[in-house]
Amino acid sequence: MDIRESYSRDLRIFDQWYKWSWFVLLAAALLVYSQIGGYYAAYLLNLIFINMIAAVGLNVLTGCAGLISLGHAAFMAIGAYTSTIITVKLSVPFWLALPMSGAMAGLIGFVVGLPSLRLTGIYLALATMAFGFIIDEIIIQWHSVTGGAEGLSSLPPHILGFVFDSYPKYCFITFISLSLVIFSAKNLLRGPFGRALAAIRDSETAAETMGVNLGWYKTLAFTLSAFYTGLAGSLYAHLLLFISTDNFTLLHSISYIVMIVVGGLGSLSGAVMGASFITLLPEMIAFSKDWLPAAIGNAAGLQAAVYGIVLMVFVILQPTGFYGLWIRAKIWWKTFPL
Amino acid sequence: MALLSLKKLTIRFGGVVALDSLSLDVHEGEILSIIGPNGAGKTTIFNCISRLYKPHSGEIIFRDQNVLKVKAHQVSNLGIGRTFQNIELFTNMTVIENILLGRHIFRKSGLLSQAVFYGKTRKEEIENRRSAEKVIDFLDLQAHRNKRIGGLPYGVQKLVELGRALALEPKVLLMDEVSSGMNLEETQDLMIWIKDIREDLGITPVLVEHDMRLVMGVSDRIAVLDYGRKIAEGRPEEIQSDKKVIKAYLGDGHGDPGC
Repeated sequence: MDIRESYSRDLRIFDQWYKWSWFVLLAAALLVYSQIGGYYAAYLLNLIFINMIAAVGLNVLTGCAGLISLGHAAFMAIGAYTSTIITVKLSVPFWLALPMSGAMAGLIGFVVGLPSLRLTGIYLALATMAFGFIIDEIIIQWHSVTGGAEGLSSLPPHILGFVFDSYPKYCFITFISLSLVIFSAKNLLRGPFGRALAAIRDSETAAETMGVNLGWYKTLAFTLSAFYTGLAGSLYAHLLLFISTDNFTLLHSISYIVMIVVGGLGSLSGAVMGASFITLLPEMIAFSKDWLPAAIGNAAGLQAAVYGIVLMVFVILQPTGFYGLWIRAKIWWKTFPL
Repeated sequence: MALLSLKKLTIRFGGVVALDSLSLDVHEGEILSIIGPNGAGKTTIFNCISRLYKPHSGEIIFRDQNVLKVKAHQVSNLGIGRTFQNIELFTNMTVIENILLGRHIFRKSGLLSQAVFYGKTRKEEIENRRSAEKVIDFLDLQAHRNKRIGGLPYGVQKLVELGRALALEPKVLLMDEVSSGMNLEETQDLMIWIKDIREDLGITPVLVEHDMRLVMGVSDRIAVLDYGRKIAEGRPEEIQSDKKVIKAYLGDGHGDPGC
């Protein structure tokens, strides 16, 4: 029986300390695998970690505050380009460039958040989509700084004289960043800030009457979400070592939405699960091609079609996503013979 | 000196005058009920006080402060809590989370402190839990503490909304038809709670109500509205025998016989 004796115990993320060991075990397993699993596995792990950061970022805005954004690839682009430009052209060290690119994206997120105070639903989605196109166009036109349509080369990060020049080594950076992002996001979302966002999502009238400053919190949600996504963008740039606007299209924005819907809107573990699933989906498709009839397996646009089908299946059959499945499994396990 | 006073409040929606130069005083420690036929403007008064509607003219003074000068999210800071006629709860949150949101105005820790969740934030959260737990005990909501709002019966949802407003520790509590959707037993409990809210918590309740048994049972004073005007005001037994009130509710007997 779990009887809780104190409020501080009630506030814990896990009510029993030993449950943390599962987390530590999973993290250790992933890190070990990234070192011995070969270059491609390490690359995929990096990509998964980065997408998890971006999904957590979008989840703060769309999942928790209920504000939909179709422009998150643009925040990622801002982070990626900021980081690349200041490390390559201004020789800013990576450990400083990473938070700076997040801050840059956060600042732009703040500005984009301002008009969002008056927009909701489909109109906000359109406005953020337009924002994505604008950023795209700025990057292409501002040739002298961004390299325009040809793209921009980035450098592998140096920290304290150590060069993270291979995928397995880079895994440490992405993993630590991901841990910090999840730690801070979890704390923010379980406290007064997260409650205020959820309140805005569920009833603006009541939230306002209870003293929540709607404008301030919506802008904060945009800023924080853009900050996380900017971090992901910076990490992405130093992983690929070459970035162009093709890495940050509308389809990318949509794939982040798919991640958080498939994972379970509003839950951090959902965003994490959704990001892993969607990042691995192309691999699964490539893997299963050999078993599919040639007409389907070689069809153009197979991946986009599978994305669409996955999204539809989840929205119709499992709207609470992987997170909902996880909760169901946990309840079933606890109450087993019943 | 009145705790909350409305002075010549007027608001129009298109051609309809919802409140017509309405003046009303709420005194500290009394239970005031506002009654009237549907569409008389009862909820409109509350919406003006919580700054959801902007009156065309008039003043709202609460403890020497002009309520019409502050923004909607600052009204709760002044010490005015409220519930809604058609429940406005946070449906995807649990009961305790809804009540904890009522503690929003008391938070002091910044975002950075919240991101680390240590020291000040932790202490504040524990304090918030303690206050929320008191509200839960007060309203006997223990059984529903960790349930989501979506699946709760209507009567319980009404209570959670009351609890959320109580967590604000307001001076004045505007209760908009809390009894609607409650069964007889729940309404009787509510009657006791309203008195406890005044006596134990020192909060002055203002009720908008349709349930006459409740109104006559708890009110010290009743104001009757019809077509945005106050047609009567006084003690329950005065209101019950007031000719204008009876006419507003039942008609004067000279109306169209076809009705």
